[in-house]
Amino acid sequence: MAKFWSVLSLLLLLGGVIWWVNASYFNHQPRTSTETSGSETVVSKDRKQEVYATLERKGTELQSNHFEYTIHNETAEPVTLPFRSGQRYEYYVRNGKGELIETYSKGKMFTQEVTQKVIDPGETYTEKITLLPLPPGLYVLEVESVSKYKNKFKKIVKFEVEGPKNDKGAETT
Amino acid sequence: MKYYQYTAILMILIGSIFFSHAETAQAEANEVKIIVKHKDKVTAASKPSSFPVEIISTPKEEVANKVAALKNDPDIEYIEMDTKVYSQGEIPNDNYYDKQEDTLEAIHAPEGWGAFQEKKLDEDTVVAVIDSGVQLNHPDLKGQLLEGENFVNPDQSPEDHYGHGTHVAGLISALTNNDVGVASVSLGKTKILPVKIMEENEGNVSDLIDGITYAVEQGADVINLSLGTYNYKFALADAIQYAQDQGVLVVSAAGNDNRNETLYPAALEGVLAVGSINPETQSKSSFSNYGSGIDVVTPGDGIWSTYKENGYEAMDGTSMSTGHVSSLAALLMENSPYLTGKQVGKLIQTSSTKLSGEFLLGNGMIHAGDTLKNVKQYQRISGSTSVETSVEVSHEGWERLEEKELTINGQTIKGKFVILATARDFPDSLAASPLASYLNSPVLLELKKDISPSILKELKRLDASDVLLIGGTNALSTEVESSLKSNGYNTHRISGKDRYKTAVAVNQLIPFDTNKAFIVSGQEFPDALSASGYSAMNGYPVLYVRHDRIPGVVNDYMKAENITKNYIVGGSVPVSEDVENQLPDDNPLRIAGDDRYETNYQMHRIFGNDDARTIYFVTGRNFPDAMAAAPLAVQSESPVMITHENQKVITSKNIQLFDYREDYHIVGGTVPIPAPYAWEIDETFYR
Repeated sequence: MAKFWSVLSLLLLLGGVIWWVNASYFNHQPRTSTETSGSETVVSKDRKQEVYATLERKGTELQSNHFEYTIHNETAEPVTLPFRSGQRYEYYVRNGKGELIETYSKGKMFTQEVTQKVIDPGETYTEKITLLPLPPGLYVLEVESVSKYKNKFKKIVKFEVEGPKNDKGAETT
Repeated sequence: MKYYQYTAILMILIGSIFFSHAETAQAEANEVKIIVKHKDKVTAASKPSSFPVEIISTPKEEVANKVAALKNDPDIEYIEMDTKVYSQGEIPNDNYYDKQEDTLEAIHAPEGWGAFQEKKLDEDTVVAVIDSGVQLNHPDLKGQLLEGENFVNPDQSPEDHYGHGTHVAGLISALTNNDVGVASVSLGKTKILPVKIMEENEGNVSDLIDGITYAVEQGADVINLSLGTYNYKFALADAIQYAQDQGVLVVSAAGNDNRNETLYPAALEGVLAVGSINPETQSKSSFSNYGSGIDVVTPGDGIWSTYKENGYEAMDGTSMSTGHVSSLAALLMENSPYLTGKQVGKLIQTSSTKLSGEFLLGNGMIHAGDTLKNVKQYQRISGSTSVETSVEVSHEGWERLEEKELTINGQTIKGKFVILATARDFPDSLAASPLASYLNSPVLLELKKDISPSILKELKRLDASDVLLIGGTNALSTEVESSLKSNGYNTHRISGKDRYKTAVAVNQLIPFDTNKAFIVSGQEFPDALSASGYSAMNGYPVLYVRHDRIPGVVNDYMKAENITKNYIVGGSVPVSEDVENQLPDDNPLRIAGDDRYETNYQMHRIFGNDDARTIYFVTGRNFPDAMAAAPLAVQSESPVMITHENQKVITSKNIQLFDYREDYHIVGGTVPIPAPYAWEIDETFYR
């Protein structure tokens, strides 16, 4: 019986350690705006709240370079992003040597309307980004909002375009 | 009869009255009236109301042929299309007008509508909206849209799923005065060519280039580009250049980044770059770009127009301002179909109202009223009569008079001189120009027996002291002279018993130091006009002769002044070979062409100042405007070219003589030089 309790305790301990490691690694850490341009912290009376961006690769198949750039409003107030044209964001793609190989706005025209996007508390605002097909190799995608909001929410992701097998990407900031 | 039978008869009667009215209205709608003016003694001084005109009603579809036939009739002075006139006080009944009122008032749209005369009746002006498409069945754009093209999904229609393109299209040509929706500056008179290059808010430059090429091929008159990029592309610049070469006006948004910079294609040469202003604050919209790249601005905050899904929305941006400018361009093209795209852009810019403030905003706020009015006034110095034109020339050339000395009958007079001559008959007045040029004085012209108030006003403005009256009392009455005296001016009448003696009397006032003289006919005015400017510039007197002999007074003058070298201006009809043989010069140079216009050209070719920057154009059919223009032209050693709308070839040749030309003026009203021809001169001048 004692053996049973010892094994159970060990399993619970191991489970706890795995949960802690997992939570530490994958969950978004609260950051201040001085730490990174990708998020900002609003300190309220009772809790920390933040507006931050994420950049995730969605494409899993060969040459499927789809990403989602999302701005999250986890504050208690609506966040307004004022845009001065049809352009909502800018991105830059660099190859493994750091050479700039694609800029979103290059070769594009934008409507000259003044608009705004309001993100309600707890809501998100997502832009889907589809890159042009890329040859196999390592790349870095850098995305930032072009709104006149105080934060550009710059996000960078490294990703790899592989041959016929699979590809993978990881957010770095 | 029973009650219902009476009712039926009554209904039939009412119906027949209604339908007969409807038929009449339909017939009138299908007919166009052409105003025809037959040739008679048209002078610059004539009032339009005194012209005998004929009104010819023609079915719409036959207008082009009828106009062509009338243009070939040598007995017709000019033809004009009848026009619809819009009352300035009339406010469109569109139910969103109250939301638009401040914006449309700020750009003086109602004033433009008051000045608008619809003349483009045979085909529609087309504005290409290269954008996110246009809602194809929007009720306020019904009948306004051409088929268009979708460059994003070529197998689909250019339907707008985003809203921006529909908003811009409504600004340009929403149906106006149709009880619903919004009004447009163009009064809905223009057709929209929807060219879809964006599904939503962004599009590729490559599609834009295709869209521009397509719009030009489809016959667009204006291309509206409420979009832009900060990246220069050679291919885009080439596409814009192609459009401009085809006579298309390109209007584009300057950008919304509050930068001292302009987006492309707005920043490209010849593209009308449009910024935004907030009429409430009378300053730049907070978002609008600014700087030297901006050409004009219009309100751009909270602008109401059509929107997707049959809607109406207020939007902000230089996109919206661009729509206003394209709409004004279309209105102007409907008013004056002879204007090129470049000229439309120039008129909009030069008619805008400069704005003060810390930001450079080009020519300022567009002004629809002035833009339409300036079609007739651009670069023109004119008044309602030749008298008023001479006053306007004086205004243009003389801020104040210099004090000069003149010896008359042995007595030297010091004063500020103005020349007064008659506009009625040329013989007594022709000598006025050389004297005015010598004194650097304006020539004011009088028509009436009594002095005109405008002349008295101008003499006062100039602070003149002495008035030189050219000609006898038949030319300028004793009443005119006494009125001048009673107003405190010293008067001096310069006259002889006939035109030849008057001309010599004038020449004797000018201390020419030369042995050369121009010899011109005293019986016809055109060649004398060609000579008068160069008389002052070269210091040669102009001597008038008869067709067949030299008057004794002229011979006496040549002997006394030791004139031995003669330039005969004109052919052997005005100045015969007999006269040529009687001149003191054994080998006089005859400067002549087949007609007065050719002779004028030859004078400029031989005597013209190669470095002249300005050219003055006057009618070759009458003398007063040329006479008033000559002293003004002499100030800058500029040529005065006589012209007429049936003398385009020689006028063009004449213009090309002056390689350094920068600027021109037309002296005289729209009767001697009609606006369409004036704009042809403009096109030739800057070619």
